Amino acid sequence: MSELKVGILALLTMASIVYMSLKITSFQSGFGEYINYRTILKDASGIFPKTPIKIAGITAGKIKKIELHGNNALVTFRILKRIKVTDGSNLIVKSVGFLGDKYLEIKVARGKPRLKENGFVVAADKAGIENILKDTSTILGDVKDLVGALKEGLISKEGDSELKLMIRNFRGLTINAREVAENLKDILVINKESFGNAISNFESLSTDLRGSMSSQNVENTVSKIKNTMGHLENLSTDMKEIISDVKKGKGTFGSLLRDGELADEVKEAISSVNKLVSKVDSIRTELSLFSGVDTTEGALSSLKLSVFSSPERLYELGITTSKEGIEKETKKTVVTNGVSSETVTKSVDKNTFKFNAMLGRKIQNWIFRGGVIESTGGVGVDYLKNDWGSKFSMEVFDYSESKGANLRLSSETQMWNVIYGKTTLDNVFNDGRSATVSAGLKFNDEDLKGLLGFFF
Amino acid sequence: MSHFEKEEAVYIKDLTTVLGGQTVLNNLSFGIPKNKITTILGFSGAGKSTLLKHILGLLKPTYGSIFVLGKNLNELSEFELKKFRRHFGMLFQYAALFDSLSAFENVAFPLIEFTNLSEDEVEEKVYGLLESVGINVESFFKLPSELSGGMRKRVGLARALALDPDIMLYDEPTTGLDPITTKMVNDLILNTYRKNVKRGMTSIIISHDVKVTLEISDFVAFLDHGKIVEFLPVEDFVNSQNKLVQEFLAL
Amino acid sequence: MNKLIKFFVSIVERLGFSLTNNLNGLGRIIFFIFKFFYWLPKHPFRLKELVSQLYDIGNKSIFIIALSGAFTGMVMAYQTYFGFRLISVDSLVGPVVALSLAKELAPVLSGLIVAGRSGSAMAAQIGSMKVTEQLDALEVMGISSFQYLAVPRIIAASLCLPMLSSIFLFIGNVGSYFVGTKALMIDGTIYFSKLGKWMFVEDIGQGLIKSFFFGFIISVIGTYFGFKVEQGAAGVGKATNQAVVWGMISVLILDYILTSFLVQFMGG
Repeated sequence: MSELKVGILALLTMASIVYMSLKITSFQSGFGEYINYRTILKDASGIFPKTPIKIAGITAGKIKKIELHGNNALVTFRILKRIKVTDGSNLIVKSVGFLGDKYLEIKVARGKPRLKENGFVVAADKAGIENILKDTSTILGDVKDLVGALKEGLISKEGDSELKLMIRNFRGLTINAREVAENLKDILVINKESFGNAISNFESLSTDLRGSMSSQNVENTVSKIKNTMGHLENLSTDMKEIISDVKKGKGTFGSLLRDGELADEVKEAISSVNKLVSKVDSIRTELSLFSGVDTTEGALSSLKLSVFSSPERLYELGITTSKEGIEKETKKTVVTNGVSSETVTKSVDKNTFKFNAMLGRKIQNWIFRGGVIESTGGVGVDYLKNDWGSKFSMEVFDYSESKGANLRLSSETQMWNVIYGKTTLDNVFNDGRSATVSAGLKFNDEDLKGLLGFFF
Repeated sequence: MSHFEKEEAVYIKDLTTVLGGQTVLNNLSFGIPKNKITTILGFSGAGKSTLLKHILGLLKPTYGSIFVLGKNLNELSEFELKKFRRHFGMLFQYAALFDSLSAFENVAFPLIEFTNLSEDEVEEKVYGLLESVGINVESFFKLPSELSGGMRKRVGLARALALDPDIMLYDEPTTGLDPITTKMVNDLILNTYRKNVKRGMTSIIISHDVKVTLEISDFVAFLDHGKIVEFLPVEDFVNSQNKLVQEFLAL
Repeated sequence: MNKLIKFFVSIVERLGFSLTNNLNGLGRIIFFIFKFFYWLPKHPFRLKELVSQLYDIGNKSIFIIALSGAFTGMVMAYQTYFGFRLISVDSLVGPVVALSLAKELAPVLSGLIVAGRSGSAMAAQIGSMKVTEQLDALEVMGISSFQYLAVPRIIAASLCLPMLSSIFLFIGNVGSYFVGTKALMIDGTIYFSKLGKWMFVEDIGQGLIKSFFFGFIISVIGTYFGFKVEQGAAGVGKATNQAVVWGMISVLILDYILTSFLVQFMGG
């Protein structure tokens, strides 16, 4: 009974998916056979595969692919077979809507033979310019209107136009500006005169403007404007003077710029910082995280931090999880009836961590290291084969009288970006031989910097 | 294989198991005879359940070997081990019935799983089994939650017997039960044994209940801290000179 | 001074401990997944169990999925409408809601719902079976408890979630359409034509792929915690809790990973 219900559920969901898919596709380019055509565009920005092609404003096909052809874009697209695309038809890139989505519009040339499959439809550049001109003329028309309005505003007699109000406000602004400038003067330049000149020229500019607003005469306006131009020129001359003063080292700011000693000190400071930064920069770090499966112990994980304080010197720290710790011996002395006896128990901690701490030296593609490996003393050798993205290692550690030493061979390869794979063979010459396969992540300082930069 | 290995249902040799740093079973060597009721006695923590798991092959020994019905469990693969378990039937302390299935379905489960019997044949066998352990027809289709503890044990026994096992295991069958139910369970074990004597069935009981031990066992093995202290026929066991055994019997 | 050092060391120890614990847990779950693939092709195939699980996970969730889908679609329509209206693109409500539902909301929300419902149920069922020795009973009979219990559940969840997600999606769109046309006065034809312009079948496909993986991870986690139970009833409660929490977290993390893969390989 429940099988029936499950079956019905499955059927219902399939039906709903089919229905939704139909609803989506029914408004798209429709069913039918398509023919492929091509075109060459100088600029395909904003055009992607699946961008629609329209003919007379109706979607007739889609772009299939875009490839680089020399310095231009070769676009392959398909059009419904039942629409006759002729030789000599033109193609224009158009944009639509608020978001500026682009599509291609084909203008079919009438009375010509049908274009063969994979034929080229010319992308009309000329049409493009025409469009611009057309657009420009519209814009010019707008400008004309605007100018007319302005004129009216400037010369009208009736009441105060908005424009006049604006000018009045502008004047108030200049007065404030002047006050600020007075204060600035003291800080910036000694040459108060030039600055004062500049300000007064500025003032007269605005007065002139105002003057021209209230005058009834257009001609007057023009001469006022000429005057204003004259003031502007003076203004700019003053500015020039101020700037050259500063350059010569006059005034507080100027003197600051020109002070040779100060500049030297600053330079020195910067270069020391540079040295420090480059030293820090040259320290390379690597953080790796591995997790894997072992034929005897089960799952293993390890975390390792390697620091290259210089291209040849290496420090390594790490932790490995371990199902079995190292063998520990505990001696217990028991006194019974005055007789003391010793019991020695060997125990192994379960589920502990093992530590690595090593110093190493890198010589060309070889690394020699030694120190604490998995909480016991040991040495190791690595060979880096950088073009394979691999590292082969051999380590000897965990020497005990009963078992001998653990000789471990391992190889590590980069699989993709920060993902690495590793296989290890432990206890090669002993009885407790085991193999481990693990996968992990390795981050170098670029990655770490990126991560840190993200948070800070 | 020696004479012993063939003759005994379970033959254990030098069995030692270390779990979590502790030696749970220490150099056990003994044999459980066929077609008899043997009880493995001991205090809590003596290693009885661990021993049981070894017999079933659920745990592998650190050292030593176990032969069950002549086969060395160490040598069987996981797959063969699973098939081999058909020779066992086990009654758990709390019956361990599948709580989503009725009593009938519980007993039918191993039959459906492992035999090719038709629906009618299965029904016939299940009815027979349930009746033989004293369950009434009205209770056949009740869920375990609707049955009393005693009835659940009976159903559990019926399920364990469904495949006519060669070795029947009882894990603490009477522990924590009132005297009347204890007697009922004792009788059940005895009856089951008798009914299957002709076919040949070995019964192994794990317990720390003295009464059960003395009343129904043929042989007794006393386990203490992972070692066999005593392994004797029940008559001799009662007269044992061993201090631990005497302490135990005095309880 | 010594105490201060000890204090810092203990904090670092605890951090390291929890980090490696979690890594260990991750490793064990990967083990668990390997075990699943090991048992998957083995006889017997337990079809009866599979169907029963499909029913439990699928059919029994339909009500809550449909309800959540409907309300999600309706709310999405409302919220997007008011923002879009400001810039006069309110006709885009249809495709925006449909795309959000198809690519993210339907798979993720159905995933979270199923993680809560079925993930916890799996952990509780298997956990209580462990505590009452029923798992041992199966093993003693020679039946792998993993194959009998975990495999059917994992397959069922992986199959059910795409189905539930489609229902969520469908009903969500229905809800959105009704709110759009009845309450927000968007023209019905424009709703569908814009939908067709902006949405592709691949978008639905991406959502279905995601929900398949969500179903897989939810059931893996649910059954994993069920098998891991110890210590009686308290343990079952703890496992159920963990199954839900980790199930939900994994759905969200997996969502990110899958989205980045799908964007790379299927072009967003």
